[in-house]
Amino acid sequence: MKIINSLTKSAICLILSTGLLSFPVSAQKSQKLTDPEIASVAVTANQIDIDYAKIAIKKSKNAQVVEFAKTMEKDHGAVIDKAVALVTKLGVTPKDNATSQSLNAQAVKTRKMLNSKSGKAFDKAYVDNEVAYHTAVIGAVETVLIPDATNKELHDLLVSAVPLFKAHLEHAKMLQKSLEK
Amino acid sequence: MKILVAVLGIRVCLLFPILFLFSCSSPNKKSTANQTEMKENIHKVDTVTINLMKFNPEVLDVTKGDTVIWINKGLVAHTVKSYQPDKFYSDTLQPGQMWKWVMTDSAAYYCTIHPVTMIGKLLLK
Repeated sequence: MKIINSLTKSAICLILSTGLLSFPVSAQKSQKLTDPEIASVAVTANQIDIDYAKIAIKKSKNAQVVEFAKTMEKDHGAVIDKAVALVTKLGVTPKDNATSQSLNAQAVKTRKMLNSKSGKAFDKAYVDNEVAYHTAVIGAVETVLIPDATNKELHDLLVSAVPLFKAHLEHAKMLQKSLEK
Repeated sequence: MKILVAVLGIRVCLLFPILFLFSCSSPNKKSTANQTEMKENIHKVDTVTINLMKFNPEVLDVTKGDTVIWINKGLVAHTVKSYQPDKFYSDTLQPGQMWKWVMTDSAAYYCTIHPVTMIGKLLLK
């Protein structure tokens, strides 16, 4: 079973790394993440998307893009609030780890790329990144974070966040199509 | 004296039917009021739960006059807005908040924050 789990994680890593963006959870290690590490990864991943949204709210002139970015800022902020409330209740301190650090390192590059663009090129870059980022996050949450979580409440919070991220992904894909016109 | 007794007797005889009529008419009025009250109480209260980014149930059969209550049990804020302009709009419902609407017509509605995926229908029977 451990071998299958390890192979699954390696396969996810391969799939994600061939995309626009990779979510480095499975790239860093094949052993299980601990709950404090999962909490750190969850908060980091949500904060990264809030930071992208803040750039879009500031730079975009497209009302639909700005509206979407405002939703990302609020929704991911709400998920962070829930996660922080849960770890506080459980007395768990989110633990920085290689996955969180790798996510942050990648986010620095993405923010730099977004800040270098303007107008329609910015809108396209932001929305394309949202599609890729949400696809990667959903994959990582479903196949790595949820299976690794041992605390039931943390597990349930991650499960309840997946439909939210999927709704964001569908919204981003719709925007992507409308920007192509 | 006999005349007085006779007059009193006639008055008592007249009073009886009148009192009888009153005693019959009062419950009738009460009964009509009760029936109206019962008709009002027949209207149902239905609940739509907002959870996991869905309106549950997505399609709800309602009768004119029914009250529909939306309860946000989700992670994030949502809204309930009819596609038909100016029909109904809940404003932002934070997690744990609810909003109700008395149905007058069929309506399709959506969440303005998550318009691509969160859609519901109320069908008047």
